[in-house]
Amino acid sequence: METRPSAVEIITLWSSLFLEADLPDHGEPTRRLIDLAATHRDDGVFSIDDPGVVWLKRQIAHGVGAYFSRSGRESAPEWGARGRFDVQEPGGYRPLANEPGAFLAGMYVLQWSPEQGVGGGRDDALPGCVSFYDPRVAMNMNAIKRDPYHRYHHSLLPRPGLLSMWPAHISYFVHPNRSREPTMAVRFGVQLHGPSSGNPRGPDGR
Amino acid sequence: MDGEGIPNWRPGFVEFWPTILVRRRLEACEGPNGELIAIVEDMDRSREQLTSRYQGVDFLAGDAPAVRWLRSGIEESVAAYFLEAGMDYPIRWSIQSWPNINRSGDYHPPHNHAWCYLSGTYYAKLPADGSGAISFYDPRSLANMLDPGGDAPEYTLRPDPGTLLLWHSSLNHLVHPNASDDTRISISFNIVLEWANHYASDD
Repeated sequence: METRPSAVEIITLWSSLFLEADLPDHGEPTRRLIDLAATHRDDGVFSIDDPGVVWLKRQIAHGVGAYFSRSGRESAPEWGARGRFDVQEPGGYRPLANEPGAFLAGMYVLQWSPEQGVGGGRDDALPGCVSFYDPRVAMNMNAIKRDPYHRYHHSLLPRPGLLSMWPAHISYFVHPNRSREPTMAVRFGVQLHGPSSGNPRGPDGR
Repeated sequence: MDGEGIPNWRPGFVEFWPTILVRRRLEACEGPNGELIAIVEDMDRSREQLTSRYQGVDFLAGDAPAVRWLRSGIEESVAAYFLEAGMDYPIRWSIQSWPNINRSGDYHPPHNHAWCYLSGTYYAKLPADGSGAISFYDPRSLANMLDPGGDAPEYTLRPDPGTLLLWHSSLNHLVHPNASDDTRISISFNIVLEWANHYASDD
């Protein structure tokens, strides 16, 4: 039986931290947000005066605080967020993009059908999924089977009530919606304010 | 709906795409280090630009006991890397290796090791003043631009004699100037894979 040689230390650097949470008691505020999505298609979701929006803003604030805490910041910098409704009709998709100008990007899922079987014959597609791509360009180019650098994407099938956040520079792709219902989400970017949100901190403690 | 309630749910976190650096101290290194230093210094006397003309050298092909000891340590470390990753199938690879002597003021600008799989260095002699550190750079290009207070894009190590480092060959790294009058002596290597069809992904 193989064993690890003595004194081998595996140091992991520069991971990309993702937050995922299935929000409790999301039913009623989510229904309100779905109604709002029918009439608001600009990027001012968070300025709408509605209890559903107030609820979502509180959840996002909680998540952002948790994200800062988890990523080791001594104090959370000042931040703001801009959000928009994103509705993909059947057949709709979103090409590869990231969130310029933001620190975090995020998504709160309002409506997303798990039934994605309409159309297409390929078994290597991921209809309805959202795929996030390794920001280390071409890092997988010489990766072999089960290599730690082999898996270049993280893909998930969203579900209503899911709140997720990720580093804004990560590119992601919303696969074609092959369900019979529109998918709906609130997409948002979290922008940091001011230059005093902390000096760079070296992992070696310098 | 309680719009006024303070959320108290706990999120799940997942860290994707870490960049891996293996650090290992080879045990009982003092004796082999002395022999390695003598071999490298002897090579240095007989070869012009030993360090920068590394392509013509195959250091670990030597038969001296210290060289065989080091080769064994590297092979064990590479095997540990594969084991840690769950790559528990036959993998064929070869080593290309060369010695480095950095004298006072010498450094190695940022670079990576093209056409290789893993790269590494074993440190036999370091300046006593702590100079000659090695820094690795975040491959997530520009990821720090909107992340004040986040991880620095530079990770610096000051190895001790007997330390072996192993990393992905594409990772940019810098050897800082030797600010002392001592020499800094190390042995670097590349792990090159020999292709086999069973390396192809099973997912």
